Amino acid sequence: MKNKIVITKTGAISPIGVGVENFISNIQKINNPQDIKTFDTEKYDIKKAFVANDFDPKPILGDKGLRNFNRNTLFILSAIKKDMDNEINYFKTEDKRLGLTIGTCFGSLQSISDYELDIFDKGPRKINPMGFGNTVLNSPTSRANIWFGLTSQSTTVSTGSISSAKAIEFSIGQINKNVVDAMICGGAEELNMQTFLGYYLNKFLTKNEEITCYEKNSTGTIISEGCGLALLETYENAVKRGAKILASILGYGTSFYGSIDNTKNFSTKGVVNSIKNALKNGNIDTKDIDLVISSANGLTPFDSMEENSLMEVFGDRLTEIPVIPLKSLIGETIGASGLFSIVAASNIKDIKELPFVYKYSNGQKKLIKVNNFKINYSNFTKILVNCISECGNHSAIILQIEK
Amino acid sequence: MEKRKVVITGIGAISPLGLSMEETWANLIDGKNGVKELERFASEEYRAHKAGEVYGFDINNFINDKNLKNIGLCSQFGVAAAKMALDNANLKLTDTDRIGVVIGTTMGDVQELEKVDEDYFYKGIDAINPKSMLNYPANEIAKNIASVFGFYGPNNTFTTACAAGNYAYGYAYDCIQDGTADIMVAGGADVLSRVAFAGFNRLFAVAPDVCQPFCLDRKGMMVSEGAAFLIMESEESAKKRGTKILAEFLGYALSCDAFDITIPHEEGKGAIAVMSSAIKNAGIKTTDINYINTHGTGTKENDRVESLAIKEVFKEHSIKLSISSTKSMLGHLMGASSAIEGAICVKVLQENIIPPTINFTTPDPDCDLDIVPNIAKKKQVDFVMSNAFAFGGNNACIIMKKWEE
Repeated sequence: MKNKIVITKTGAISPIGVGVENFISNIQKINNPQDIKTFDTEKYDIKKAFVANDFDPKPILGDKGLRNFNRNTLFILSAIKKDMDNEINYFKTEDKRLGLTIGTCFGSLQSISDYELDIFDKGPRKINPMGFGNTVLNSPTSRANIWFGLTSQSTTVSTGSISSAKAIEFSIGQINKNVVDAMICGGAEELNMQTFLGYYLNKFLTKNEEITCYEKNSTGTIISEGCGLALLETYENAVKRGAKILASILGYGTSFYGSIDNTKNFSTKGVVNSIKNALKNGNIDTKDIDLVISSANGLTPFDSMEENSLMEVFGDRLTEIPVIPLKSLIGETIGASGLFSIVAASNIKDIKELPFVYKYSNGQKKLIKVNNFKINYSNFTKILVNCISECGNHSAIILQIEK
Repeated sequence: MEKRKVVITGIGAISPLGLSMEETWANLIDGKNGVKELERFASEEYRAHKAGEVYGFDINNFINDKNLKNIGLCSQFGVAAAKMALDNANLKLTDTDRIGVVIGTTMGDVQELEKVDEDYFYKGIDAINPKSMLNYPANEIAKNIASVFGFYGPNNTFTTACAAGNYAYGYAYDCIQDGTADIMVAGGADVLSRVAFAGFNRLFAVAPDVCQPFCLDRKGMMVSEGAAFLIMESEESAKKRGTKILAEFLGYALSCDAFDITIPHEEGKGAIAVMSSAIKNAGIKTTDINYINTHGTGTKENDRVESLAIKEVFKEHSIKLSISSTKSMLGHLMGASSAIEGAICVKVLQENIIPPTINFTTPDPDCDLDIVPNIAKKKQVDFVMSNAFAFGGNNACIIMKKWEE
């Protein structure tokens, strides 16, 4: 890493809690999926998801100006306002360059489809012109730039399930180039009918109320939504302004190993390379890693690929490293998932006990779920956040937790 | 430590003016208009009826692999344009993690989503092809290109609307400079989308007949489609391969208007910031620039603001600059627009010919710059700038230089 890049603030709007404090508090217990209320599920035999039914942007953002914003936009605006308002004011008052980068796989998907269905329904001359601005995938990010007056830059990255990990990579690059002083880096995804349909029709969703990771008999994943945020800046900048440092980014690795047919993208080669690249980038040995926040989501080929990759990289050392598949606690947030993992890792000191972790069994040669595993989370210093995607694109981020 | 020089060794394009960069370029300097009556879908109910469509495209004319028929049309455009750029760069390497792929797109393979919506609306859920939903996500294009050619280096997708192509070029430049990759296949792709066509129509932003950027009579833009890719490479990699270097990529910058989702900042703050930063980042002076390929959409506000910003950044040098809007001929390729405009800039540097801004009739006092009206112009060009100003006020500007040993 060129400069030491640190995380000084995190943010979260999630189905299990609004605000980082609630998010961290609630990942420490079992949360069940809820009835989907954002669209009609009558025609489907799956009616539940991890959905932010309790999310109401009005107490956070006020009543005015929200009418034309889609759900993804409201997630981003609310997450920034809720958890990073002071930081925005600081950077604006000090005339510092604060950029915004959001990773999202589907972005404004619902707005695009709604617009099209309106064209079919009402005819192209009667559709709402105000709705068109929401149909570009960068509209949620750009609306946040407008709302908060962030002029340095606005970037939207859409790299499937690792979109927000790629947003981290991009943000590190921009800070290292010294074209921004700090970057609000996020991942955001809304649960909507089209995303649900895509997962449902491709038989990716389980009818169960829990995600079973690393199991051959798993029946699928549970879709989710929300926005996770991290404020990235140089260590020098953070120290200079007296900011509390949550974590530093020790290493970043990325790789691609895909094929046109997504059902064939389950080779360990890409995942192994991205983890190794992150270790190399941070000059870190596998023995230094003491926790993995993984990407498993209950889709068996996906989970097997990750499990085999972790075994390949860490070998027997994996028996000593707890693995937390965060998606089993909050659902599959797709493009936002990497950032939610970063939020959890950055605030690991505030975690007392998770309902379960996975431990590698040398005998069974697999990751095994261990309930109520007693461990002092505040002892963890180096955490690997592993992000994998169905398209063969993978990223790994290693965080050093600041004492 | 001295920065790695980033050079361009190949270009490829699919556009309404041709199924190759050579054909597109020849038509551009001839001042031909690629915008015609819309054929892709029925347009009777729309206010305007013209668009820039790619005609006669068949992916198997570029790569004979039947599997490629199963990917989205936007991905097919991307694969074909990337293939031509690779051939142009004489690049035969495969199965390597030193070559990456990055693309910019506004909506990706949106026609796949349009199929889903159409089936859902007219026939019901059972009629939906589940594969269409897998083909839709924007990252499919970069994934498909990398998979076809076996490029396992950095792989990324920017969805920053009509500036996305320049974001991709900027990212590729950074990957090569920081040593993450030696070669990047960088560009953009977009297909003609019903949503975009309807939306721009509803904003009264589409011209009824022709696109007339910087002209007093201008009535709007033209929705269009296509793809373009550059092979960007470290100087040492290009020299090691012994391939011809076409141009040098000097730098880029990003900015955000933070003003309105569809309208540019009225005083051009974002545009001024991004052009000024790009010049600084490239390590040159404003007086070095000879030509700007403008964003030049042909809408009243965009062209007024862009002219204002150019005059503000370049001061007295602005009257010595040549600028043109190739959108007058190609239409607006959305996320691919800055990608193809970057490719055009490489040709300008090589050929010392500036493509015209066609359909020009009456000067606009707000746009009193040398817009190279109607006829291409011969001019020594050593430095070029290409502007992209997108929805959401996402601005990206790149600068390239004639290659000199």
